[in-house]
Amino acid sequence: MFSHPTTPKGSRIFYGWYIVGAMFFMGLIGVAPRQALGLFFDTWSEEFGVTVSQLSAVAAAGWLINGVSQPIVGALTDRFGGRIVMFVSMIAVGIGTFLIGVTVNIWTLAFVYIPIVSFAMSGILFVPGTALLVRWFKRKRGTAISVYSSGTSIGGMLLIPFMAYLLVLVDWRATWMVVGAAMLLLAAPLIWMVLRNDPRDMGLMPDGDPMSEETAAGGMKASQRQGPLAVEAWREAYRTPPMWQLTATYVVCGMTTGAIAIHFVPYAVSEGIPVSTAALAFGLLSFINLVGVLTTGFISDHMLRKNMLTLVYGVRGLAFVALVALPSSIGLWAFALIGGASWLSSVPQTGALTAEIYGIKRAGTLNGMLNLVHQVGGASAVFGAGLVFDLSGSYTPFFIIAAGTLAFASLVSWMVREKACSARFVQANESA
Amino acid sequence: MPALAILAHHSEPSDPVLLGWLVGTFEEVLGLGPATVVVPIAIGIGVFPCLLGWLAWRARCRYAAGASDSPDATDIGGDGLRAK
Repeated sequence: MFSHPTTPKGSRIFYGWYIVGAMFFMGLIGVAPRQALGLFFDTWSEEFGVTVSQLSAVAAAGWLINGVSQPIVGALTDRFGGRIVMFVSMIAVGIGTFLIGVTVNIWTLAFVYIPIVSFAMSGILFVPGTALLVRWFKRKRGTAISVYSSGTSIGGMLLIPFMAYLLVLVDWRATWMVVGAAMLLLAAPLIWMVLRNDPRDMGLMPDGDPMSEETAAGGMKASQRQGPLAVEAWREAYRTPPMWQLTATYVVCGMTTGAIAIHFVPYAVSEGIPVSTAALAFGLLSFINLVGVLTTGFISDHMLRKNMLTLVYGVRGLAFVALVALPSSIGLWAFALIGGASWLSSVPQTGALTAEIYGIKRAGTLNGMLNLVHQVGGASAVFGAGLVFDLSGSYTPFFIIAAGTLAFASLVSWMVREKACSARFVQANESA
Repeated sequence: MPALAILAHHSEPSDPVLLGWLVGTFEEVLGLGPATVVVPIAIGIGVFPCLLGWLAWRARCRYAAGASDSPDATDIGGDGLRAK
């Protein structure tokens, strides 16, 4: 009879949760260069003698590079493992963030921000993190990825005021250097020290489950059972319907979140609502987003993930309907309340479902591809919403389109044959 | 507002108008200066990874000790399993 030797007496916490904690911190501090960039536009505009539009172009180029780099980082993760990818990326982002503090003009800023910070940032956010966590968790995958994802939300809430106030206390150069130093001295060592690519590296099983005779005999294959559609090469996934279904829904996800992030406050202003009210509503949306992602992540571990995705997109669609159907002063708050609950919730569901259908071997690349199309969708919608407003003088037509696409995404999610494809319900040998 | 400012995944870039309003409201409501915001967050950012790193290290030590504590255990091939 076999027993698992590595469950220490008195230790009730599965090691995977320490990994989630470390990645939560990585997300929390890692989003700073992206989310706080706008804080410094006015300062740089004066000091570098450039316009806000020129600085925005640097930010936009950075985000484009970040989008393109996602599949590359995913492939690197599949090849070398998430730990080294996240460690090296955090070092690069930390150095880049520190160097932003010594830039002398817009060109040096662009040189640091675009190829270094923006590229490396793909290596510390969702793609490698999800690919690593799906190895550590099976039954609690949704919860684990949700807790990890919430780090970026909390990071936005904590670090933006932190950097804003630090800017008042010291200057912009010291502010960036402090955050860069924190990444290099705190986050990077934490990643290296805590993260392990696979529970088997420590003789553990996913979720901390005891090792049975079957898993002991079967090793890796038994500890991570694959579904019937598990792939060896990422291209194989695109020969099956679920990958296209998840791609289609993620494009809609990017479109609807991207457009709102940029056009929410301008929409409110166009409806005669004060900026402060719109800002408060958007703040409420961000807070409910945090609650929503944690709740849906936990619940999804106890139900079909495709049903949760159906619900998430459906609820978000209802939020857009509220924005169109209700008077704008009420619709704004209704949108924040309803839409906030579904904002980030699609991320853990999509990441977990992809791994459960296509296996963990190419989880990084496939998540990278999904994130790429998400961002392409977001960029298209930002332009699209602006174009609609310029042509019609109102955001309403765009919001109607958004509600329609979300209904489509909800339907497509519901059509995913999860019970027939997911390793949660069927294993490769059973389906043969 | 930058036209391409939300290519990032669900990470809304800070809108200076929004942030200015938030900071102003925060100061108005709580009457706190910059240092009273910066110092607690800085302490949190410093303490959290140190504490987590220490706890994870302790857990790994326990796992390692648990692995070597079984007197009747026999290694069966390098994947951390032992047969009783």
